[in-house]
Amino acid sequence: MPSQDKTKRLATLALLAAAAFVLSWVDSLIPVSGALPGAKLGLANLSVLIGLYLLGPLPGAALCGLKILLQTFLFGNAYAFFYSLAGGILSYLVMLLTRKRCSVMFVSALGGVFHNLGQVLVAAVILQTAGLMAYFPVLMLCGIGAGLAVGLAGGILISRLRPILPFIS
Amino acid sequence: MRLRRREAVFLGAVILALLIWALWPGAPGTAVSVSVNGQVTEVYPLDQPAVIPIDGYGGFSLTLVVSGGSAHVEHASCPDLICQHHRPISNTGEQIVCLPARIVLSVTGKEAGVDAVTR
Repeated sequence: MPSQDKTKRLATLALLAAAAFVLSWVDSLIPVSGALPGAKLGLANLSVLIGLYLLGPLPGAALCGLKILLQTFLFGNAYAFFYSLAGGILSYLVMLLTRKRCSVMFVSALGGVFHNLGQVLVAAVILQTAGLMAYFPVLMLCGIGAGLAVGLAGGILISRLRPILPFIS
Repeated sequence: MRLRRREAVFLGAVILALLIWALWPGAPGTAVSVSVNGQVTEVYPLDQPAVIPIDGYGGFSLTLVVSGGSAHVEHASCPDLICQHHRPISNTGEQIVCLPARIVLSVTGKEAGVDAVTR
């Protein structure tokens, strides 16, 4: 890979990181209440998704790590760290493994589901309760819904960005 | 980019199953059990109005309010206030969880049966 292309890829990664920052902030502004307060749209996952598809697994993982740090220490609270960490890692691994076989929307929906699954698993361990079942179906539905919405936007952005970023494989 | 047909069918089936699960009407419960850090500490009947302060993990506390057959949380001292914003719970199996304080409030069917899962 020519060094010029490396620089361009680095610049694209930096742009996606900046976008993740803004999207995390917007995410924290959207109020949620009712059956599941605390549910988030996960807009920053848009950056992770685009990074994973256009730049590859490692830049995507870097964006995912950044997203977790932003969500925890800047726009959330530190008590949520282990939940965010488990959800983020599990979600990213599933998206990484399915990205070549499924559509972007489906990959994103899986990401949303496994993000919430990771969180509820950590909650079950920390609270030493197996019975978080009341939250389970609602969490899964939220994960699918948010994942599909982010995946729809992500799919459009990825197909539009690919032709104008010629250094991307 | 778009969902493929088999993906859409799969997601549709999963969403339908989850909706049925989530919206399945629960029987009205009779008591609310309080669990702190995995240990059930108290069980309160839902038909007696009460205001109960609960001390949780890490110095966090909340106030459980029982009135009119349902339970909700007021004045939580945790940073996210998710439990405080949760709608009141009244049916068997419904829960309010405060993660920072490690408090789980669950509605049970029988006052005596702390572990009651059945209706």
